[in-house]
Amino acid sequence: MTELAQTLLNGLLLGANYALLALSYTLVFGVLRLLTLAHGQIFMAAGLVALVAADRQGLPLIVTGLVAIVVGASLGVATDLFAFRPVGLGRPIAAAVATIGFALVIENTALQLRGSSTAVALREPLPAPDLVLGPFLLSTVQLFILAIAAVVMVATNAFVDRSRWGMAMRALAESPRLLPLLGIPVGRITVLTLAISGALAGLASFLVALRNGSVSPLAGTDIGLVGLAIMTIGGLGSLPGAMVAGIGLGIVEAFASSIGVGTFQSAVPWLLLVLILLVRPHGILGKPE
Amino acid sequence: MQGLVVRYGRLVAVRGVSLTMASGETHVILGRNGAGKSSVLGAIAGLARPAEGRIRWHGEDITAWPAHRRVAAGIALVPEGRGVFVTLTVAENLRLGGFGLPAATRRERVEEALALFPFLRERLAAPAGTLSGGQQQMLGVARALIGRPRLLVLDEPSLGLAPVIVDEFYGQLARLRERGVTILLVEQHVERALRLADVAHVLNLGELVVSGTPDEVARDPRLEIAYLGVKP
Amino acid sequence: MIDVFQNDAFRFFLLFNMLVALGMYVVYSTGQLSLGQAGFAAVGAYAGSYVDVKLGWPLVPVLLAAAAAAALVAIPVAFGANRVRGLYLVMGTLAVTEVVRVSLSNLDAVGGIQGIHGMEPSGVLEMAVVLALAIGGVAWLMASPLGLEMRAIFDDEDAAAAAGVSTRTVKIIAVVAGAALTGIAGALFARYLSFIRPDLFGIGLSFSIALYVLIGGVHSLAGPLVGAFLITYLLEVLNRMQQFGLPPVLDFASPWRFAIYGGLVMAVMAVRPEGLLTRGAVRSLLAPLRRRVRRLRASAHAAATPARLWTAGDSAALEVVGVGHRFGGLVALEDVAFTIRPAEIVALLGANGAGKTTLINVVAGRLPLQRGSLRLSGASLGLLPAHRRTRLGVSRTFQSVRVFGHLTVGENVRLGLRAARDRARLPLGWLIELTGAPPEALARDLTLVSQRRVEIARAVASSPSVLLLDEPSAGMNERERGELAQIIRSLRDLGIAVVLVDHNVDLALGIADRIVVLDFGLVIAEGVPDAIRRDERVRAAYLGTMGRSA
Repeated sequence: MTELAQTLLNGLLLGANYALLALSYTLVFGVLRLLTLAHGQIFMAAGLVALVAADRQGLPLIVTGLVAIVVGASLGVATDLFAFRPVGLGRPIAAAVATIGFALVIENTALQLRGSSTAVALREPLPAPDLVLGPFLLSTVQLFILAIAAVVMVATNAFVDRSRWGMAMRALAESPRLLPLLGIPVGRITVLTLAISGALAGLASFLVALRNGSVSPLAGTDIGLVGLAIMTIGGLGSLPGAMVAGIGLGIVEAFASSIGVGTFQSAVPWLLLVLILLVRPHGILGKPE
Repeated sequence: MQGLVVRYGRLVAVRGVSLTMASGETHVILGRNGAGKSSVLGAIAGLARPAEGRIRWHGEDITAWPAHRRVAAGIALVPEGRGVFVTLTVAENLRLGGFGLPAATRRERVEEALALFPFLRERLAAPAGTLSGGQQQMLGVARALIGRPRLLVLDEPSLGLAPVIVDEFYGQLARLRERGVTILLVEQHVERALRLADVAHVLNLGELVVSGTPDEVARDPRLEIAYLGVKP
Repeated sequence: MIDVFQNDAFRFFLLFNMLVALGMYVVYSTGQLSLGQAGFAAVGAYAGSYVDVKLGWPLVPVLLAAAAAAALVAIPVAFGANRVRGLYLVMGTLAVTEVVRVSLSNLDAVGGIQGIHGMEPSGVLEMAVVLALAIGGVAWLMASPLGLEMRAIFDDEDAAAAAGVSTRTVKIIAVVAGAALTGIAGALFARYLSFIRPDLFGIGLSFSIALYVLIGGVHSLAGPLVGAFLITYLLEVLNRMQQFGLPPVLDFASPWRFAIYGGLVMAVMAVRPEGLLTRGAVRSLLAPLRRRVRRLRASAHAAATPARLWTAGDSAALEVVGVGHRFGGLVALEDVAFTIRPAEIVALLGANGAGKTTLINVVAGRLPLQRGSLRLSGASLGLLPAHRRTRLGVSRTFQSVRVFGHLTVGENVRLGLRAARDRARLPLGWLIELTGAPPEALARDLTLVSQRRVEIARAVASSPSVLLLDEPSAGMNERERGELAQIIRSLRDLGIAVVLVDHNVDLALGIADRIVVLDFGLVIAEGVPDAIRRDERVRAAYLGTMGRSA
């Protein structure tokens, strides 16, 4: 495989995870008009719990993934119950600050219970790349990551656009006050939104673990902020934007890394953010309010 | 058959308001802004809990029920400002009206609603925000009707609408009334509302001051006092 | 718990956090939630350290250099911040922090990742003096007219522009001033440590600073200071809990202390979403002071009827010629033309969507002039932004009332007065009476109708020659409408040309000198009320069965 193909593959793998994470933020922002700063920690906790459980109980890979999804969904629901509900839907800044508090709670509880800040590794080693697809050489696991990410992204979009509950979520995005008058309890929609969002973050965490081989308890903040940056680049509240921006950033980062930008690597998402905002103040696909 | 009974007291907005509706009747609540009309509707729809008083619906006490449960029981409110989702299409707005229903039933009811408001049929795929104010108001009513409510509650439906559109809208309401829908209406346009209603109530400073047939109320001097704001 | 204060480092950081919180307060008081403050602190720290170590400058010039450097970097950020709003702004400023940090890490001239060391030490005393001066300066700023404009922008930026505030300029000043303060703090921080590295000024610091302000309360100067104080103190106490003999099961040197902190943050937001020191709390604390001030002010204002502003005449106050406007493919206005003279009331009627509000927005400058021309007493308005038009004498109110909720009635009106420029000023007392509300009341505590009157008074306070009223009678009962009609007539008697958009046909037909009727963006009729009442086209398009009565 050529170096170009390798870089592109790395970019797609990274971008797939980024896109899922950005989707999880965008669902919450798009539907509830609220920002959650706890998703990075949910990402971390879901992966951590899944890998620790897999390690202790000897779980197969698929089950490990399911554990991550379930933990993610539960923490998402907890965000709604403990951070959003007490503050109310109408106060976005206070709600965001509350999620900062919640993020601190999650991260430090995880650190405390884990006992240290060392990473947890996958039980089984990752297989070597042995499949050839056009110019790409990848492992079954890598193919799995890309396939799952693609399916989930399409499914999420379809759910929001076509399903009954997706319609209710879009209605909630527009006017939370009107929903009870239609006989639809708002609480059920917010819980559903946060559950799906948390599940997406958990899935993304599992897929990253499959790529890297481990999860670190301190990974939450950095990945959380990058997720926020991607959502902003793609355009706040736009699901397609989040996906485009996620994959785009993954590819840009992969190429930056292969060129060798040194310490600027960590600033790539932020430089991209500034550049995009200068040209398009509402992100790539965002709509002015 | 007993319809709705509201006995309702709350120091802040409304004091000791009582009204009884029988099935098929059209009642209108009149009064100027701040008189408490929206508070009464809010209490009936379940958006606000009255501090005192009971609301009975076909014999059952529903005072503690949340809004969505009342909708299931047959009370549909079309709030002030039309109550449509402008970013959703007309079809989606109607679908939302039948959210809890099985698909076949919902399709049937949507057909019924379209028969009443045929102009909606051509605009099904259009975002509701592209409809004019009066059309949105009628969409709001159509949406509420999907649930086959036994009581349709309308909060100031003519607000912000041009007079000629208001004419059209009240024509529609009259048609609904002929089909036996029970209607509770809150209005500022005295003349229009009195022409439609069976029973009229006047609210002033949170208290019910007059109840009776439209003729009685129209001639009652307390109606004028309530509107001109002469303090008692 | 008091002996934490004996620790010198704690004392320093307490003051440092309060100073950076103050810097953020200056920026955020215009509604710009900046997460780039750590970046400005870093720039100031580096600039100050550089001139200290490499050039041997003494303290005050070092601090000035720090302020200047931070301000310089802040200028492009401020311009960028003007282009983005809301969360985009927040994320953009967060990017600034990270980009600054990484850039400094790579700049060998300033030591790269190692940073700079060897600064002259400063301690708590210098920080305390600077903080005291800064508090004085910021207090003076917020009490000044500029501070009033900043707070208005926080509440409603568009309404502030409509009131004549140069929102772009004020927002830029806020960012630069806040950055300068933060830069000074950074330089003092560097001197305290006698070294700095880029990773000391990371995203975490920016978030912490934001928390000081958001938890403390943003509607007063004391809020961020209190927030910084409490949070710094709390974290230090949690750090030291084991010294107070607590059972070993709770090991507070552990991550638990941050988890507790997080839990407290959530609790505070649930109970006080606007921060600990809400504007209401501060007002009630200051109430005795305000009462004394009010008594002084009340005697100064006699509500004298003001003299006429403009004389009625034949020359037009406003000419609208051939104005057209499209939203994408939708034609909202087509070849609209009318003229209004001083001391005239023209009512604009039409169904919803007929284009009335669009026309007002085009005249006021909220929408760009795509086609046609607008002339104010002969001078062309077309290219001017909204706030300039207000300063020239075109005032407007909004369909949904837009007052500055966190400002008092008096402050709302005084903001309008600033746009009067060199035109004759209307007496403050008379304007306050126009609102019908007590001058010390917070605008958001008023009823809708009172708020509308406050908005009208604010629009009138700039001594406009043309006043555009968009649905002022919405929500009013008959008596209130009567009072409104009186007010509008008295405004006409002052010589103001009033353009009235309203759905209440009785009001519009009752007080207007002339009517212009719009339908689907076209003028379909123009004339005196009686003629319009009888016009068949108007009947069909708008009036229906109404208007026949009365």
